[in-house]
Amino acid sequence: MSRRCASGRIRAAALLVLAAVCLAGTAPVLGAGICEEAFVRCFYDPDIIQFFNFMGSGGMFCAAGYVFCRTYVEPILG
Amino acid sequence: MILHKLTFAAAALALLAAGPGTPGPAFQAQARPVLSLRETLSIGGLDDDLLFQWTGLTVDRAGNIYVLDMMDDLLKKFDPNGKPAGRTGGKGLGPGEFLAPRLLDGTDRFLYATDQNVMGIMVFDHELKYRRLIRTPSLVSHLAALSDDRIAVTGLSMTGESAILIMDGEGKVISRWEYTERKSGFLQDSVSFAPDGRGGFLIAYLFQDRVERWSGPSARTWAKSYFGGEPVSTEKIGGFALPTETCFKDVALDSRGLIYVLGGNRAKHPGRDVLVLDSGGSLVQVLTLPEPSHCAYIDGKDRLYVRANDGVTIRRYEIRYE
Repeated sequence: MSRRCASGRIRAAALLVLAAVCLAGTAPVLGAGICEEAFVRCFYDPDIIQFFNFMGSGGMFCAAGYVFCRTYVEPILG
Repeated sequence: MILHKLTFAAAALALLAAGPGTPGPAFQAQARPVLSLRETLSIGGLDDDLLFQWTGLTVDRAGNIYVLDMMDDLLKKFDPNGKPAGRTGGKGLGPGEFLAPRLLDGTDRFLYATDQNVMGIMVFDHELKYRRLIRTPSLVSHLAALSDDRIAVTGLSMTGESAILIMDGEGKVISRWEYTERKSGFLQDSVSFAPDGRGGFLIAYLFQDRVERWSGPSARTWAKSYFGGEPVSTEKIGGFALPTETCFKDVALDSRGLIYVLGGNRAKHPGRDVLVLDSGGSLVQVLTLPEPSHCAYIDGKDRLYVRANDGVTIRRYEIRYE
């Protein structure tokens, strides 16, 4: 196998892995309701988590938001 | 940046709130209705700026109405006729300020307010003057003011507190009422609760088809289901098993001892059906509100307060007994 061919295969494999990682990251959100989507986005937002870790509540802020969304927002969205 | 992110959801809600409402005191009658509702007051509307997106509400002995508004981050006071009587707060993390105001309850002297970002309870007096912060071990998911120096709270935690904590005015835990026998899963212990007037509590589960009455810290008087009793389904999202249905959003008690439980999306009319139970938990009647609400508050004169116009309006109804 030539060096050029091997390099192309490595690049293709890297792209495949990257695509798989991206899809895996968005898969939980695809098809979910707005409250579930908001929860996932909250939980994986480094700014929010860092801020609320500092405040002492950490990821439970996102859980509180999910409960509020289910209780308050969902009826508005129908 | 973080403030912008936190206020994004509220701004989105404001846009949603601009949609048309469906006012009108139309209720579904049972075969033999025992109770009926008559609208006696409406505060806020699509044409004014009294309320934008109210969340928590409480009413004092004189009939003054206190309400938290998450759009302008204010604690607002209205007189018994619905006229504005004061406001305080504003956006921020300082004393008496809010980023995401949520729950509100009161006693003869104090008002107790929570913010989704704060592990504690803000105390105001009836003139809306901020007094102090009562620290809590976790974010507060529900609260009930029992007296001027006793508050009952439930908290959210990853491990699941599953207990109502009775705290004094300084935040010291006086007693714990464990209300689940075992770990029931992420958020499955989310409840609303209300003092039952006999020293106990009524507990309504948000993600379980269960309403319970507790007479003491380890004394459950009864537990009943009203939507078939099937477990709420969960969806594995981002590593968490999130419950996908709501069962009961709020619980309240009137002066006659009747229990009012606001149904979630398991109810025939989600957010609109109010199950009326007798003191033993038997279903007496279902009242259907004209619009969905997130809460059902009953004051000392047996008047029911609910949401209308997607949070722009408070509706007050007199509960009429046949």
